[in-house]
Amino acid sequence: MEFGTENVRSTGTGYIVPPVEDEEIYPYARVWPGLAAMAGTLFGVVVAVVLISAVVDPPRNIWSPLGVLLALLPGLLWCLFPWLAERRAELGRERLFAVFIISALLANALGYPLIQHWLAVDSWGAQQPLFTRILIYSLAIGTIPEVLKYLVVRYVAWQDYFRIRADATAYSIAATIGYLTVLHLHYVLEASPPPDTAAIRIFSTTAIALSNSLIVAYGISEMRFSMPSPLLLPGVISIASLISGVVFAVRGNLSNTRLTLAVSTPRLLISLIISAVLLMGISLAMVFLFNTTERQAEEAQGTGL
Amino acid sequence: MTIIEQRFIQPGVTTRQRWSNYFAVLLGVIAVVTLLNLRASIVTATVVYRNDAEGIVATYPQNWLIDENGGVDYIFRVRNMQEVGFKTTFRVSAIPTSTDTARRTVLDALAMERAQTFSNYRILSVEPYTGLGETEASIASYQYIATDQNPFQQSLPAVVQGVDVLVLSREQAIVITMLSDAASFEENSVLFERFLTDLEF
Repeated sequence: MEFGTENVRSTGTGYIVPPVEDEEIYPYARVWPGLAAMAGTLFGVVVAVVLISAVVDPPRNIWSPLGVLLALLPGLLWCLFPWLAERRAELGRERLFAVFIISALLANALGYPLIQHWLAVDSWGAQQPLFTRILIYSLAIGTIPEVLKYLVVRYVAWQDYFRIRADATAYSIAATIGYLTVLHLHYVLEASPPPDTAAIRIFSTTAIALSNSLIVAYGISEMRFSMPSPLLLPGVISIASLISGVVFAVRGNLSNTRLTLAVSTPRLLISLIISAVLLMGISLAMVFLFNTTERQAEEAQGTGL
Repeated sequence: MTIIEQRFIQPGVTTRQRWSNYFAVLLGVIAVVTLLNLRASIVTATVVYRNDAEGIVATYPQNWLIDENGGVDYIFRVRNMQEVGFKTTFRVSAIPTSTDTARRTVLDALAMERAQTFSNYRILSVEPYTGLGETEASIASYQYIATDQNPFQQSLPAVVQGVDVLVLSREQAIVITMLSDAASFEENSVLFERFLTDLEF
Protein backbone atom coordinates (compact mmCIF):
# COMPACT_ATOMS: atom_id res chain seq x y z
CA MET A 1 0.00 0.00 0.00
CA GLU A 2 1.48 3.31 -1.06
CA PHE A 3 0.58 5.16 2.10
CA GLY A 4 2.07 2.46 4.35
CA THR A 5 5.27 2.31 2.33
CA GLU A 6 5.72 6.03 2.53
CA ASN A 7 5.28 5.83 6.23
CA VAL A 8 7.87 3.11 6.69
CA ARG A 9 10.37 5.10 4.64
CA SER A 10 9.84 8.33 6.44
CA THR A 11 9.93 6.96 9.94
CA GLY A 12 12.52 4.34 9.39
CA THR A 13 11.05 2.14 12.09
CA GLY A 14 10.03 -1.46 11.83
CA TYR A 15 6.31 -0.72 11.72
CA ILE A 16 4.43 -1.59 8.58
CA VAL A 17 1.71 0.87 9.53
CA PRO A 18 1.95 3.57 12.19
CA PRO A 19 0.60 2.56 15.64
CA VAL A 20 -3.02 3.49 16.06
CA GLU A 21 -3.43 6.13 18.69
CA ASP A 22 -5.96 5.44 21.41
CA GLU A 23 -9.24 7.02 20.56
CA GLU A 24 -10.35 9.49 23.21
CA ILE A 25 -13.61 8.21 24.62
CA TYR A 26 -16.20 10.50 26.17
CA PRO A 27 -17.44 8.25 28.97
CA TYR A 28 -20.36 10.39 30.11
CA ALA A 29 -23.79 10.55 28.56
CA ARG A 30 -24.17 13.63 26.36
CA VAL A 31 -26.81 15.95 27.75
CA TRP A 32 -27.81 18.11 24.79
CA PRO A 33 -28.80 15.35 22.32
CA GLY A 34 -30.94 13.75 25.05
CA LEU A 35 -32.61 17.07 25.76
CA ALA A 36 -33.21 17.72 22.07
CA ALA A 37 -34.71 14.25 21.56
CA MET A 38 -36.95 14.63 24.61
CA ALA A 39 -38.20 18.13 23.74
CA GLY A 40 -38.55 17.30 20.04
CA THR A 41 -40.61 14.18 20.72
CA LEU A 42 -42.77 16.06 23.20
CA PHE A 43 -43.38 18.80 20.63
CA GLY A 44 -44.26 16.20 18.00
CA VAL A 45 -46.73 14.44 20.30
CA VAL A 46 -48.35 17.73 21.29
CA VAL A 47 -48.76 18.81 17.67
CA ALA A 48 -50.23 15.37 16.86
CA VAL A 49 -52.72 15.65 19.75
CA VAL A 50 -53.76 19.15 18.63
CA LEU A 51 -54.22 18.05 15.01
CA ILE A 52 -56.14 14.90 15.96
CA SER A 53 -58.35 16.91 18.33
CA ALA A 54 -59.13 19.33 15.51
CA VAL A 55 -60.36 16.48 13.31
CA VAL A 56 -61.85 14.07 15.84
CA ASP A 57 -63.62 15.46 18.88
CA PRO A 58 -62.35 13.24 21.74
CA PRO A 59 -65.19 11.92 23.94
CA ARG A 60 -65.44 13.53 27.36
CA ASN A 61 -64.84 10.29 29.25
CA ILE A 62 -61.30 9.93 27.87
CA TRP A 63 -60.22 13.49 28.68
CA SER A 64 -59.03 12.59 32.15
CA PRO A 65 -57.02 9.42 31.31
CA LEU A 66 -55.56 11.12 28.26
CA GLY A 67 -54.67 14.13 30.41
CA VAL A 68 -52.87 11.92 32.94
CA LEU A 69 -50.96 10.28 30.11
CA LEU A 70 -49.96 13.68 28.74
CA ALA A 71 -48.95 14.83 32.24
CA LEU A 72 -46.67 11.81 32.59
CA LEU A 73 -45.29 12.19 29.07
CA PRO A 74 -42.33 14.51 29.89
CA GLY A 75 -41.27 12.08 32.63
CA LEU A 76 -41.62 9.09 30.32
CA LEU A 77 -39.62 10.83 27.60
CA TRP A 78 -36.97 11.78 30.13
CA CYS A 79 -36.68 8.10 31.08
CA LEU A 80 -36.59 7.11 27.43
CA PHE A 81 -33.91 9.54 26.27
CA PRO A 82 -31.62 11.18 28.89
CA TRP A 83 -32.02 8.58 31.61
CA LEU A 84 -31.60 5.58 29.29
CA ALA A 85 -28.54 7.27 27.78
CA GLU A 86 -27.10 7.52 31.29
CA ARG A 87 -27.63 3.80 31.80
CA ARG A 88 -25.81 3.04 28.57
CA ALA A 89 -22.89 5.40 29.18
CA GLU A 90 -19.59 4.09 30.49
CA LEU A 91 -19.80 6.41 33.47
CA GLY A 92 -23.44 7.22 33.86
CA ARG A 93 -24.48 9.86 36.32
CA GLU A 94 -25.51 8.59 39.72
CA ARG A 95 -28.44 9.75 41.83
CA LEU A 96 -30.20 11.17 38.76
CA PHE A 97 -33.40 9.31 39.52
CA ALA A 98 -33.14 10.32 43.19
CA VAL A 99 -33.05 13.97 42.10
CA PHE A 100 -36.13 13.34 39.92
CA ILE A 101 -38.11 11.72 42.75
CA ILE A 102 -37.10 14.16 45.49
CA SER A 103 -37.89 17.11 43.26
CA ALA A 104 -41.34 15.64 42.56
CA LEU A 105 -41.96 15.09 46.27
CA LEU A 106 -40.82 18.62 47.10
CA ALA A 107 -43.15 20.03 44.45
CA ASN A 108 -46.08 18.15 45.94
CA ALA A 109 -45.21 18.93 49.55
CA LEU A 110 -44.13 22.55 49.26
CA GLY A 111 -43.98 24.08 45.76
CA TYR A 112 -47.55 23.40 44.63
CA PRO A 113 -49.37 24.19 47.91
CA LEU A 114 -47.26 27.31 48.43
CA ILE A 115 -48.13 28.82 45.05
CA GLN A 116 -51.66 27.50 44.54
CA HIS A 117 -53.15 27.46 48.02
CA TRP A 118 -51.15 29.57 50.47
CA LEU A 119 -50.27 32.41 48.11
CA ALA A 120 -53.19 31.64 45.73
CA VAL A 121 -51.46 33.63 42.99
CA ASP A 122 -54.05 32.75 40.33
CA SER A 123 -56.88 34.39 42.24
CA TRP A 124 -55.31 37.85 42.47
CA GLY A 125 -52.35 37.96 40.08
CA ALA A 126 -53.95 37.43 36.70
CA GLN A 127 -55.97 40.67 36.70
CA GLN A 128 -53.05 42.98 37.45
CA PRO A 129 -51.37 45.38 34.99
CA LEU A 130 -48.64 43.96 32.77
CA PHE A 131 -45.60 44.99 34.82
CA THR A 132 -47.10 43.84 38.12
CA ARG A 133 -48.04 40.59 36.45
CA ILE A 134 -44.48 40.11 35.20
CA LEU A 135 -43.18 40.63 38.75
CA ILE A 136 -45.74 38.21 40.23
CA TYR A 137 -45.07 35.49 37.64
CA SER A 138 -41.30 35.99 37.88
CA LEU A 139 -41.41 35.31 41.60
CA ALA A 140 -44.13 32.65 41.70
CA ILE A 141 -43.40 30.67 38.56
CA GLY A 142 -39.70 31.48 38.28
CA THR A 143 -37.87 32.15 41.52
CA ILE A 144 -39.63 29.85 43.99
CA PRO A 145 -39.56 26.66 41.85
CA GLU A 146 -36.01 27.37 40.68
CA VAL A 147 -34.74 27.80 44.24
CA LEU A 148 -36.50 24.59 45.33
CA LYS A 149 -35.06 22.62 42.40
CA TYR A 150 -31.64 24.11 43.04
CA LEU A 151 -31.79 22.96 46.66
CA VAL A 152 -32.55 19.41 45.54
CA VAL A 153 -29.60 19.36 43.13
CA ARG A 154 -27.37 21.09 45.66
CA TYR A 155 -27.97 18.66 48.50
CA VAL A 156 -28.41 15.40 46.56
CA ALA A 157 -25.78 15.55 43.82
CA TRP A 158 -23.70 18.71 43.87
CA GLN A 159 -21.07 17.75 46.41
CA ASP A 160 -20.25 14.15 45.51
CA TYR A 161 -21.58 13.45 42.03
CA PHE A 162 -20.57 16.47 39.95
CA ARG A 163 -17.63 15.56 37.71
CA ILE A 164 -18.01 17.83 34.69
CA ARG A 165 -19.93 21.00 33.91
CA ALA A 166 -22.59 19.15 31.93
CA ASP A 167 -23.59 17.34 35.13
CA ALA A 168 -25.29 20.52 36.33
CA THR A 169 -27.49 20.49 33.22
CA ALA A 170 -28.32 16.79 33.53
CA TYR A 171 -29.30 17.04 37.20
CA SER A 172 -31.23 20.29 36.67
CA ILE A 173 -33.23 18.70 33.86
CA ALA A 174 -34.02 15.69 36.08
CA ALA A 175 -35.17 18.01 38.90
CA THR A 176 -37.28 20.06 36.49
CA ILE A 177 -39.03 17.07 34.93
CA GLY A 178 -39.75 15.59 38.38
CA TYR A 179 -41.13 18.92 39.62
CA LEU A 180 -43.25 19.44 36.50
CA THR A 181 -44.74 15.95 36.57
CA VAL A 182 -46.44 16.76 39.87
CA LEU A 183 -47.69 20.16 38.65
CA HIS A 184 -49.06 18.63 35.45
CA LEU A 185 -50.82 15.83 37.33
CA HIS A 186 -52.49 18.36 39.62
CA TYR A 187 -53.55 20.38 36.59
CA VAL A 188 -55.14 17.54 34.61
CA LEU A 189 -56.79 15.93 37.65
CA GLU A 190 -58.27 19.17 38.98
CA ALA A 191 -59.22 20.93 35.76
CA SER A 192 -59.94 17.94 33.45
CA PRO A 193 -59.09 20.01 30.37
CA PRO A 194 -59.64 18.88 26.76
CA PRO A 195 -56.63 16.94 25.42
CA ASP A 196 -55.44 19.66 23.03
CA THR A 197 -55.53 22.34 25.74
CA ALA A 198 -53.77 20.03 28.20
CA ALA A 199 -51.12 19.11 25.63
CA ILE A 200 -50.31 22.71 24.76
CA ARG A 201 -50.19 23.79 28.39
CA ILE A 202 -47.96 20.85 29.31
CA PHE A 203 -45.55 21.62 26.49
CA SER A 204 -45.54 25.34 27.29
CA THR A 205 -44.78 24.91 30.98
CA THR A 206 -42.20 22.22 30.22
CA ALA A 207 -40.45 24.44 27.69
CA ILE A 208 -40.32 27.45 30.02
CA ALA A 209 -39.22 25.39 33.03
CA LEU A 210 -36.52 23.61 31.02
CA SER A 211 -35.25 26.94 29.68
CA ASN A 212 -35.06 28.24 33.23
CA SER A 213 -33.30 25.14 34.46
CA LEU A 214 -30.65 25.42 31.73
CA ILE A 215 -29.87 28.98 32.79
CA VAL A 216 -29.73 28.03 36.48
CA ALA A 217 -27.61 24.99 35.62
CA TYR A 218 -24.96 27.35 34.27
CA GLY A 219 -24.86 29.11 37.64
CA ILE A 220 -24.70 25.80 39.52
CA SER A 221 -21.83 24.51 37.36
CA GLU A 222 -19.92 27.77 37.71
CA MET A 223 -20.39 27.66 41.45
CA ARG A 224 -19.00 24.12 41.49
CA PHE A 225 -16.08 24.36 39.06
CA SER A 226 -15.06 28.02 39.07
CA MET A 227 -14.71 30.64 41.72
CA PRO A 228 -17.31 33.17 40.66
CA SER A 229 -18.87 35.90 42.76
CA PRO A 230 -21.31 34.51 45.34
CA LEU A 231 -23.95 36.63 43.63
CA LEU A 232 -23.68 34.73 40.34
CA LEU A 233 -26.10 31.98 41.34
CA PRO A 234 -28.86 34.26 42.69
CA GLY A 235 -28.19 36.42 39.62
CA VAL A 236 -28.84 33.62 37.13
CA ILE A 237 -31.91 32.48 39.10
CA SER A 238 -33.23 36.06 38.88
CA ILE A 239 -32.54 36.25 35.14
CA ALA A 240 -34.27 32.91 34.55
CA SER A 241 -37.21 34.05 36.69
CA LEU A 242 -37.52 37.32 34.81
CA ILE A 243 -37.53 35.53 31.46
CA SER A 244 -40.28 33.17 32.61
CA GLY A 245 -42.28 36.09 34.06
CA VAL A 246 -42.06 38.07 30.82
CA VAL A 247 -42.91 35.04 28.68
CA PHE A 248 -45.91 34.09 30.83
CA ALA A 249 -47.33 37.60 30.90
CA VAL A 250 -46.71 38.42 27.23
CA ARG A 251 -47.79 35.00 26.02
CA GLY A 252 -51.06 35.41 27.90
CA ASN A 253 -51.67 38.73 26.16
CA LEU A 254 -50.95 37.25 22.74
CA SER A 255 -52.84 33.97 23.06
CA ASN A 256 -55.93 34.94 25.08
CA THR A 257 -59.32 35.25 23.43
CA ARG A 258 -59.93 38.65 21.86
CA LEU A 259 -62.85 40.72 23.05
CA THR A 260 -65.02 40.82 19.94
CA LEU A 261 -68.62 40.49 18.90
CA ALA A 262 -67.70 37.64 16.55
CA VAL A 263 -66.88 34.09 17.66
CA SER A 264 -63.37 34.07 19.13
CA THR A 265 -61.23 31.33 20.65
CA PRO A 266 -57.86 31.33 22.46
CA ARG A 267 -54.95 31.19 20.02
CA LEU A 268 -53.24 28.22 21.59
CA LEU A 269 -50.85 27.63 18.69
CA ILE A 270 -49.21 31.00 19.37
CA SER A 271 -48.54 29.82 22.90
CA LEU A 272 -47.04 26.60 21.54
CA ILE A 273 -44.81 28.41 19.06
CA ILE A 274 -43.57 30.97 21.60
CA SER A 275 -42.66 28.20 24.05
CA ALA A 276 -40.85 26.14 21.39
CA VAL A 277 -38.88 29.14 20.14
CA LEU A 278 -37.95 30.08 23.71
CA LEU A 279 -36.67 26.61 24.54
CA MET A 280 -34.73 26.36 21.29
CA GLY A 281 -33.20 29.83 21.66
CA ILE A 282 -32.15 29.39 25.27
CA SER A 283 -30.84 25.87 24.63
CA LEU A 284 -28.62 27.13 21.80
CA ALA A 285 -27.41 30.04 23.91
CA MET A 286 -26.62 27.75 26.83
CA VAL A 287 -24.81 25.20 24.62
CA PHE A 288 -22.62 28.05 23.40
CA LEU A 289 -22.07 29.37 26.92
CA PHE A 290 -21.23 25.95 28.38
CA ASN A 291 -18.83 25.17 25.50
CA THR A 292 -17.12 28.53 25.79
CA THR A 293 -16.70 28.21 29.54
CA GLU A 294 -15.43 24.65 29.20
CA ARG A 295 -12.88 25.71 26.57
CA GLN A 296 -11.72 28.67 28.63
CA ALA A 297 -11.31 26.41 31.65
CA GLU A 298 -9.25 23.93 29.60
CA GLU A 299 -7.08 26.73 28.22
CA ALA A 300 -6.58 28.13 31.69
CA GLN A 301 -5.62 24.66 32.92
CA GLY A 302 -3.24 24.24 29.98
CA THR A 303 -1.47 27.51 30.66
CA GLY A 304 -1.32 26.79 34.34
CA LEU A 305 -3.57 29.69 35.28
CA MET B 1 -9.75 -0.48 26.74
CA THR B 2 -9.13 1.53 29.86
CA ILE B 3 -11.12 4.55 30.87
CA ILE B 4 -9.21 7.18 32.72
CA GLU B 5 -11.66 9.49 34.37
CA GLN B 6 -10.46 12.92 35.30
CA ARG B 7 -12.50 13.89 38.31
CA PHE B 8 -12.71 17.36 39.66
CA ILE B 9 -11.63 16.95 43.24
CA GLN B 10 -12.72 19.53 45.72
CA PRO B 11 -12.06 18.84 49.36
CA GLY B 12 -14.95 20.79 50.82
CA VAL B 13 -17.21 23.72 50.30
CA THR B 14 -15.42 27.02 49.83
CA THR B 15 -16.55 30.23 51.46
CA ARG B 16 -17.76 31.60 48.14
CA GLN B 17 -19.82 28.49 47.48
CA ARG B 18 -21.29 28.64 50.94
CA TRP B 19 -22.29 32.28 50.52
CA SER B 20 -23.64 31.58 47.06
CA ASN B 21 -25.87 28.90 48.58
CA TYR B 22 -27.05 31.27 51.32
CA PHE B 23 -27.84 34.00 48.79
CA ALA B 24 -29.86 31.56 46.66
CA VAL B 25 -31.93 30.49 49.66
CA LEU B 26 -32.32 34.13 50.67
CA LEU B 27 -33.61 34.90 47.18
CA GLY B 28 -36.32 32.26 47.63
CA VAL B 29 -37.31 33.73 51.00
CA ILE B 30 -37.41 37.25 49.51
CA ALA B 31 -39.66 35.95 46.70
CA VAL B 32 -42.16 34.48 49.18
CA VAL B 33 -42.18 37.61 51.37
CA THR B 34 -42.60 39.88 48.33
CA LEU B 35 -45.50 37.80 47.05
CA LEU B 36 -47.17 37.88 50.47
CA ASN B 37 -46.84 41.67 50.55
CA LEU B 38 -48.11 42.03 46.99
CA ARG B 39 -51.04 39.78 47.77
CA ALA B 40 -51.93 41.73 50.89
CA SER B 41 -51.77 45.07 49.07
CA ILE B 42 -53.77 43.83 46.06
CA VAL B 43 -56.43 41.87 47.96
CA THR B 44 -57.05 44.66 50.48
CA ALA B 45 -56.97 47.49 47.93
CA THR B 46 -60.20 49.48 48.08
CA VAL B 47 -62.06 52.23 46.25
CA VAL B 48 -64.02 54.97 48.01
CA TYR B 49 -67.72 55.39 47.21
CA ARG B 50 -69.43 58.62 48.22
CA ASN B 51 -73.15 59.33 47.91
CA ASP B 52 -73.87 62.84 49.19
CA ALA B 53 -77.63 62.56 48.58
CA GLU B 54 -77.94 59.59 50.95
CA GLY B 55 -75.05 60.66 53.17
CA ILE B 56 -73.10 57.44 52.65
CA VAL B 57 -69.36 56.96 52.37
CA ALA B 58 -68.06 53.42 51.83
CA THR B 59 -64.93 51.69 50.69
CA TYR B 60 -65.30 48.54 48.61
CA PRO B 61 -62.76 46.10 47.17
CA GLN B 62 -60.93 47.24 44.07
CA ASN B 63 -62.02 45.60 40.80
CA TRP B 64 -65.54 44.93 42.11
CA LEU B 65 -68.38 46.27 39.98
CA ILE B 66 -70.50 49.02 41.51
CA ASP B 67 -74.15 49.43 40.63
CA GLU B 68 -76.23 52.44 41.70
CA ASN B 69 -79.26 51.67 39.54
CA GLY B 70 -81.17 49.71 42.14
CA GLY B 71 -84.08 52.15 42.30
CA VAL B 72 -86.03 51.47 45.50
CA ASP B 73 -84.36 48.10 46.08
CA TYR B 74 -80.95 49.42 47.08
CA ILE B 75 -78.83 52.56 47.22
CA PHE B 76 -75.81 50.79 45.77
CA ARG B 77 -74.29 47.37 45.53
CA VAL B 78 -70.85 46.06 44.63
CA ARG B 79 -70.21 42.63 43.14
CA ASN B 80 -67.10 40.58 42.54
CA MET B 81 -67.57 39.80 38.86
CA GLN B 82 -64.31 37.83 38.67
CA GLU B 83 -65.78 35.04 40.74
CA VAL B 84 -66.89 31.88 39.00
CA GLY B 85 -70.45 30.91 39.92
CA PHE B 86 -72.37 33.09 42.36
CA LYS B 87 -70.93 36.61 42.53
CA THR B 88 -70.29 37.85 46.05
CA THR B 89 -72.40 40.94 46.63
CA PHE B 90 -72.33 43.73 49.22
CA ARG B 91 -75.49 45.81 49.15
CA VAL B 92 -76.67 48.86 51.06
CA SER B 93 -80.39 49.63 51.07
CA ALA B 94 -82.70 51.94 53.01
CA ILE B 95 -86.24 51.09 54.09
CA PRO B 96 -88.53 53.87 55.40
CA THR B 97 -89.73 53.21 58.96
CA SER B 98 -91.55 55.01 61.72
CA THR B 99 -89.90 56.20 64.90
CA ASP B 100 -91.20 53.29 66.98
CA THR B 101 -90.27 50.48 64.57
CA ALA B 102 -88.17 47.76 66.14
CA ARG B 103 -85.21 46.27 64.32
CA ARG B 104 -86.66 42.78 64.72
CA THR B 105 -89.84 43.89 62.92
CA VAL B 106 -87.87 45.00 59.87
CA LEU B 107 -85.87 41.78 59.82
CA ASP B 108 -89.04 39.68 60.07
CA ALA B 109 -90.60 41.62 57.21
CA LEU B 110 -87.51 41.04 55.09
CA ALA B 111 -87.57 37.33 55.94
CA MET B 112 -91.22 36.98 54.97
CA GLU B 113 -90.66 38.76 51.68
CA ARG B 114 -87.62 36.64 50.80
CA ALA B 115 -89.26 33.37 51.79
CA GLN B 116 -91.70 33.95 48.93
CA THR B 117 -89.05 34.66 46.30
CA PHE B 118 -86.00 32.60 47.24
CA SER B 119 -85.83 28.83 47.00
CA ASN B 120 -85.28 26.99 50.31
CA TYR B 121 -84.89 30.26 52.22
CA ARG B 122 -83.96 29.55 55.82
CA ILE B 123 -83.05 31.89 58.70
CA LEU B 124 -79.96 30.68 60.53
CA SER B 125 -79.77 33.23 63.35
CA VAL B 126 -80.84 36.70 64.46
CA GLU B 127 -78.81 38.42 67.15
CA PRO B 128 -77.50 41.83 68.26
CA TYR B 129 -74.47 43.11 66.36
CA THR B 130 -71.71 45.00 68.14
CA GLY B 131 -69.32 45.52 65.24
CA LEU B 132 -70.41 49.11 64.57
CA GLY B 133 -69.13 50.60 67.81
CA GLU B 134 -71.80 52.43 69.78
CA THR B 135 -74.42 52.17 67.04
CA GLU B 136 -77.06 49.60 67.95
CA ALA B 137 -77.55 47.01 65.26
CA SER B 138 -78.89 43.53 64.61
CA ILE B 139 -77.51 40.83 62.38
CA ALA B 140 -79.51 38.13 60.64
CA SER B 141 -77.91 35.29 58.73
CA TYR B 142 -79.73 33.05 56.29
CA GLN B 143 -79.30 30.62 53.42
CA TYR B 144 -81.10 29.94 50.17
CA ILE B 145 -80.58 28.21 46.85
CA ALA B 146 -79.77 30.52 43.93
CA THR B 147 -80.30 29.41 40.36
CA ASP B 148 -78.92 31.24 37.36
CA GLN B 149 -81.82 32.88 35.51
CA ASN B 150 -80.13 32.27 32.17
CA PRO B 151 -80.87 28.63 31.15
CA PHE B 152 -78.09 28.71 28.53
CA GLN B 153 -75.47 29.04 31.27
CA GLN B 154 -76.20 25.44 32.33
CA SER B 155 -74.81 26.21 35.77
CA LEU B 156 -75.63 24.24 38.88
CA PRO B 157 -77.65 25.96 41.64
CA ALA B 158 -75.51 27.53 44.37
CA VAL B 159 -76.07 27.52 48.10
CA VAL B 160 -75.94 31.18 49.05
CA GLN B 161 -75.27 32.35 52.56
CA GLY B 162 -76.38 35.87 53.39
CA VAL B 163 -76.00 38.32 56.21
CA ASP B 164 -78.12 41.42 56.92
CA VAL B 165 -76.81 44.02 59.33
CA LEU B 166 -79.65 46.36 60.23
CA VAL B 167 -79.35 49.81 61.76
CA LEU B 168 -82.21 52.22 62.49
CA SER B 169 -81.29 55.77 61.63
CA ARG B 170 -83.41 58.90 61.07
CA GLU B 171 -86.70 57.10 60.44
CA GLN B 172 -85.19 54.61 58.07
CA ALA B 173 -83.68 51.19 58.38
CA ILE B 174 -80.25 50.87 56.78
CA VAL B 175 -79.73 47.27 55.68
CA ILE B 176 -76.20 46.27 54.81
CA THR B 177 -76.23 42.89 53.11
CA MET B 178 -73.60 40.39 52.12
CA LEU B 179 -74.49 37.52 49.78
CA SER B 180 -71.85 34.90 49.15
CA ASP B 181 -71.49 31.36 47.95
CA ALA B 182 -71.60 29.28 51.13
CA ALA B 183 -68.28 27.66 50.16
CA SER B 184 -66.43 31.00 50.26
CA PHE B 185 -68.48 32.63 53.01
CA GLU B 186 -65.73 32.72 55.65
CA GLU B 187 -63.25 34.21 53.22
CA ASN B 188 -65.71 36.91 52.10
CA SER B 189 -66.75 37.66 55.69
CA VAL B 190 -63.33 39.22 56.27
CA LEU B 191 -63.95 41.65 53.39
CA PHE B 192 -67.45 42.36 54.66
CA GLU B 193 -66.19 43.14 58.17
CA ARG B 194 -63.79 45.66 56.62
CA PHE B 195 -66.61 47.08 54.49
CA LEU B 196 -68.77 47.52 57.61
CA THR B 197 -65.96 49.12 59.60
CA ASP B 198 -65.33 51.76 56.92
CA LEU B 199 -69.00 52.44 56.18
CA GLU B 200 -70.30 55.87 57.23
CA PHE B 201 -73.94 56.87 57.04
